[in-house]
Amino acid sequence: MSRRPGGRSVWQKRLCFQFVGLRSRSAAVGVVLLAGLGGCAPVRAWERGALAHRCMQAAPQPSRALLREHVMSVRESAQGGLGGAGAGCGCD
Amino acid sequence: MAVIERACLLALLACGTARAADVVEGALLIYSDDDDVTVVSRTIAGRYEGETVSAGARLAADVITAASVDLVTAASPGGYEETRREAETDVSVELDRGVRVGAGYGISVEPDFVSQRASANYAHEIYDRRLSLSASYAFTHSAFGRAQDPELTLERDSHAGEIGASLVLSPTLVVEALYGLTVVGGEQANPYRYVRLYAPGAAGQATAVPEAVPDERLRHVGTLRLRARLHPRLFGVAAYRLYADSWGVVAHTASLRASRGFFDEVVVLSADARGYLQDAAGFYRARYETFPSAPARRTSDKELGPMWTARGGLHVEVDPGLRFADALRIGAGFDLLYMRYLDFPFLDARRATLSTIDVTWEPR
Repeated sequence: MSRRPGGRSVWQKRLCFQFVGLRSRSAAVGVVLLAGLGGCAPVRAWERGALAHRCMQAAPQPSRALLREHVMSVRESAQGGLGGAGAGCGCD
Repeated sequence: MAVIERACLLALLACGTARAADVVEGALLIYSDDDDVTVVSRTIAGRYEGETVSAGARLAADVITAASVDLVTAASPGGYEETRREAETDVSVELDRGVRVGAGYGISVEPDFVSQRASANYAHEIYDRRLSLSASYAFTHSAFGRAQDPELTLERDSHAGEIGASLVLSPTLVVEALYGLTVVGGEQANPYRYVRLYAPGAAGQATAVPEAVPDERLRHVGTLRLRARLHPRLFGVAAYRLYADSWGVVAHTASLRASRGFFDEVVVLSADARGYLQDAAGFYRARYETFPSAPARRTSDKELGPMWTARGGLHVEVDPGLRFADALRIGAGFDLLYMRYLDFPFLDARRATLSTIDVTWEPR
C-alpha cells in the first residue's frame, strides 16, 4: 500500500473520508427524521392496521430471513445493519 | 450438543402444541452453487408474548459440503463436510409504557470453532408511538483452531453497538435508520487459508504461506429502510446499506421487496431483488509477486477483493385453513444468486440457487 513518510496510508485516508461521509449522511438522516416528525399528522389507533400487517414488516418470515442473510454475510465482506445477528461462525 | 438440541426442539414443539407459545416458526434453506458448495440450513424458533414479559428461543443447524476451488486443506484436498449448530435465547421486559429492556445469549458450535454471544438492548416509543428509538450492545467471544493441529487455539472478541430510529410518517409509510459499529480484536486470519507467493515475473507459484491479516477491524454500517403500503393489498420495502471498515472495504447494498395478497390473503406472493458492490481491502492483491519475502499482510480470500453480487427471487405463502391448526402459514421460496469476482485469479464468478421452505404457526 502507498504511504508518504509519516503520513496515513491510502486506505486509512479512504476510510476517514468514507467515515466522515457516513457521519454526515447519518446526521442528514437524523435531521430528516426529526423534520418528518414535525410535519406528520398523528396516526390514530384504528389507522394502524396497515402498520401491523405482516407484509409491512422488514422480515415477514424471520427464520427464512435469518438463513438468507447468513448465506449473504458469509459470502460478502459487509456484515450487520440488516438485523438477525447471531453468535459468530467459522464459515469464512 | 445434539442431545440439548433435540430436547429444546421437543420443548418448542410442545409449547406450540399446548398453545403456551404465541409464535412457533421454522425454515429450511438449501444453498447450492457451481463451485461445488452445498449448504443445508434449518432453524426453529418459539416466542412467548406476555403482558410485560416476552421470551424467545431459537435453534439452528448448517451442514456444509464443500470442494471449492480456493479451498486448500492438506488433510482434505478433495473437500470437506462440516456441521454447525447454534442455539440462542432472549427475554425482554416492559418497564413502563413504551419502554422495553432485554438481554440475550447465543452459542454456535462447530468441530473447530466455538462462539458465544451475550447481548443487551433497549427500546423506547415516544410521540404517541410514532417514533421508536433503540440501542443494543453485543459481546462475542470465539475460540477456534485447525482440525489437523489439536494444540492450536486462537481467539477473537467483538464488541458491537447499534442505535436505531423508526418513524411513522403516515398510516401507510414508515422510515427507519440505523447505525452500527463493531470492533473486532484478535486472530482474524483463517487457519485453513494459504496464500501463494510468486517470484516477480514468474508464471509458477514459488511457495504458499499462511494468511496474515490485521488483528483489529472496525466495521461501520449505516442502513436506511422505507416500508410502505402502496395499495390495499400491495406492500413494498426498500433498503440501502453503506458499509466501511478499517481494512479498506467499502460496500453498498440495495434491496427491494414487493408483496401482494390474493384470495382474501389466503395466498401472499412476494418478489425481491438485492444488489451488492464492494471495494477490495487495502492489503488485498490478486497475486503476491514478493518471493522470497512474504508481505506482513496477505490474503487469498476472494471475499476481501473487489466483487459484486445480485440476487432475485420469488416467495409464496399460503394459509391452508386447517381446522386443527388455525393461523398456520406455509411458504416456499426460490432465489437465483450471482457472485462476480473482479480480481480473483482462480474463479471469475459463482452461480447459486437458494431454495427455502418456511412455516409459521400462531397457536394463541
